[in-house]
Amino acid sequence: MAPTKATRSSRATETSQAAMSVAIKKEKVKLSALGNNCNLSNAKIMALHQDKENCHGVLDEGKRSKATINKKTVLGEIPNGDMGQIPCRSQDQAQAQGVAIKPLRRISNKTTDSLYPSALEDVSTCGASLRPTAVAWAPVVPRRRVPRGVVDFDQKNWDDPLQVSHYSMEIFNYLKTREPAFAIGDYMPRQIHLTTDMRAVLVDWMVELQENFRLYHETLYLAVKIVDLYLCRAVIKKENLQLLGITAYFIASKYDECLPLRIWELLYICDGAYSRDELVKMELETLRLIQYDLGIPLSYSFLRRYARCAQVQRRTLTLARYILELSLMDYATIGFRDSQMASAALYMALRMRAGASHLDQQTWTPTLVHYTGFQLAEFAEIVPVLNAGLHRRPQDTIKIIRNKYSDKIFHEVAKVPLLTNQELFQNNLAPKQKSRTHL
Amino acid sequence: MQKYDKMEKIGEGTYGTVFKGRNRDTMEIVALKRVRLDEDDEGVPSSALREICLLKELKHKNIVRLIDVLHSDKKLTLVFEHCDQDLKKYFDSLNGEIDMAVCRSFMLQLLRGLAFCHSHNVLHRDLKPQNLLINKNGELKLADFGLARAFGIPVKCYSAEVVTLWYRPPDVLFGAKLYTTSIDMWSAGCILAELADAGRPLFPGSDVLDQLMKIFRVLGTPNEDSWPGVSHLSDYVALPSFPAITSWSQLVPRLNSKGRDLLQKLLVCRPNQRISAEAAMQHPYFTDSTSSGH
Repeated sequence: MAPTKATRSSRATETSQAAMSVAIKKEKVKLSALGNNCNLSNAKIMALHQDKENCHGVLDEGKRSKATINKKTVLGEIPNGDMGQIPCRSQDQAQAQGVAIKPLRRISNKTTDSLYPSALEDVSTCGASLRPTAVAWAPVVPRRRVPRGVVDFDQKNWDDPLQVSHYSMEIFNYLKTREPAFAIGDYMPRQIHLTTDMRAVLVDWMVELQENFRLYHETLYLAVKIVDLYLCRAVIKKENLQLLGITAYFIASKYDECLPLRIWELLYICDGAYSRDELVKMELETLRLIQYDLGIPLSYSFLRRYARCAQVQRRTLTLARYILELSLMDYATIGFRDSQMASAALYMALRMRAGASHLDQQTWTPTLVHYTGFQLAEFAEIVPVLNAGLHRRPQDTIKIIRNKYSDKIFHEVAKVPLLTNQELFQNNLAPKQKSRTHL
Repeated sequence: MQKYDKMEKIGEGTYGTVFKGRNRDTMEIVALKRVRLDEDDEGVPSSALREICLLKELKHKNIVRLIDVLHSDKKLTLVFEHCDQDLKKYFDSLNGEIDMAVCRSFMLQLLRGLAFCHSHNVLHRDLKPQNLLINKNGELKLADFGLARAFGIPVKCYSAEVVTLWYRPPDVLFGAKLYTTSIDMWSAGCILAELADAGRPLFPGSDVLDQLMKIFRVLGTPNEDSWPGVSHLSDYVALPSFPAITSWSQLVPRLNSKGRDLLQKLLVCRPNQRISAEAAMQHPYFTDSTSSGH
């Protein structure tokens, strides 16, 4: 039978290639400037910034009215306006989602909806359309023990096949046990050619690729993990950092996407900085270094699970995702466990959404303790680190994520008022525990 | 490849050729799966990539063991534990008769391997007798993870081009791209029936339509009442409404009533009502040791 590595029709590939070259032309980046020029920011700004609006005009139909002027210049080169959307990938995904997910999305604007597929999935209603309406014969739902005051999310969703309720608890516990195997140490002192700023620039660019290629967010998170795991194990030159970035995407997309990224796509966006041979060699070397271990627990997956179990609102989940995504760029967070990163981001999002007027609220409920397996004190040390990331003045060079989450599609969560560390913990962390967190 | 001597070819996997091999130091017999890395390909095939990383993670006695991965620029070699034969070849050697105790033992081992995959968030997606290996000790092992993948929770859309036709569930035949562990449970059901019938496949369809007809002639044609949402699946076609068969003992005469009960819980058209591997392992079919045969 046909393997999962779905083959695109040659026609689709051609169309895709043509449209892609237009859509991405403006922001293909030679981060190789990383290597030749110590002034990273400039390389980045030059390449990405000037025409970012154009890209968005092309990729984001929802924004087209705003970006009309820029869009014209870009779309002018495409015979059919619709082609501007990197057709192959988006069509496939739309098709894939059209099958069953169609009714799941709440957003009525279909074009906007198709933009950030996984970012928009709803917390509480995903899967609703497939949930049986009348159960003629239901499998026996086992009685399980949950602590007092905890809502048994899995039991509530036992009949929803997409939640994999039979195995969820087991799977997430298993993923937690795998976390130590992927611990990332402080590698920067050994990376004599790199700085944390360079890593941030790379990750920022990777975030943009995820949007433009319509990849799952998991693929972005996995790719960043692959970059860090590689850097833990081998010293790399500046000029190869971007190669590592696309290699990580190459591998991550083969692992998780229905349509893995193609070599030409990846070489194209680097503007010819690397050859096919270099990419293929780098792939093998990376796989060897990380020992083919790609089942890496990701904060993004934990966050979704925790948010679902606690039935938080989508705005809150989106804010937590923003906090997590911002942390991808922050070298200070690489050592934390992903399950705890997810917990911390969710805790902060809940606090920030409740706002300064509800600081006395008990935020980390028994349900959250049950499903995360963590008391607030266990991940409290992460909160100030993430909060510092939110408070940091955005550099001109690195603001893809802030811009993304300032969009209406993402409920403008990047504009939610920030809290101080003290406000984040007020009435939730006992003083004794607080001292452990060095506040 | 210095560490292993290549011996005779033993088969073709989803990708690459499989040879018998021998470890030069330990003389251990292994299976060598060779993946060519061609100039014009997309690097390491995603099927090989997934198989390697999933099998590195899945260590269980009912799942084939990946011993090593050997690299060169031109090829990758996956080194597996060697098993004497697969279930298909085992069937061929039976002359139409199978010991019901063996049938039950194989089924239980299949479910154990499968439950392990599922609880480690892996879908196999290509269960069939050729992919179940049998060794001299009567141990059964899930193999060929070339179509397998890790799944997220909740699941996302995956390819509908999975599972060999005869073992493909009706939801996937209708084009469902959202599926989960239940996809493997259907295949397990088909394999149980085939085991009980000493290797005669239960639904040997010639194409997708014929496959659906063969299934519905036995289970009855599903409709919106029995399976809400079925008509919205992308490749749904209205088919003649067959009634479900009344006598499962005619379909699988050698399987006892408990076995038939398990079979009916596996072969359910509507995916969310198929029994899970974990639950199937607890089924009375496996606990009552006296009831083999009728």
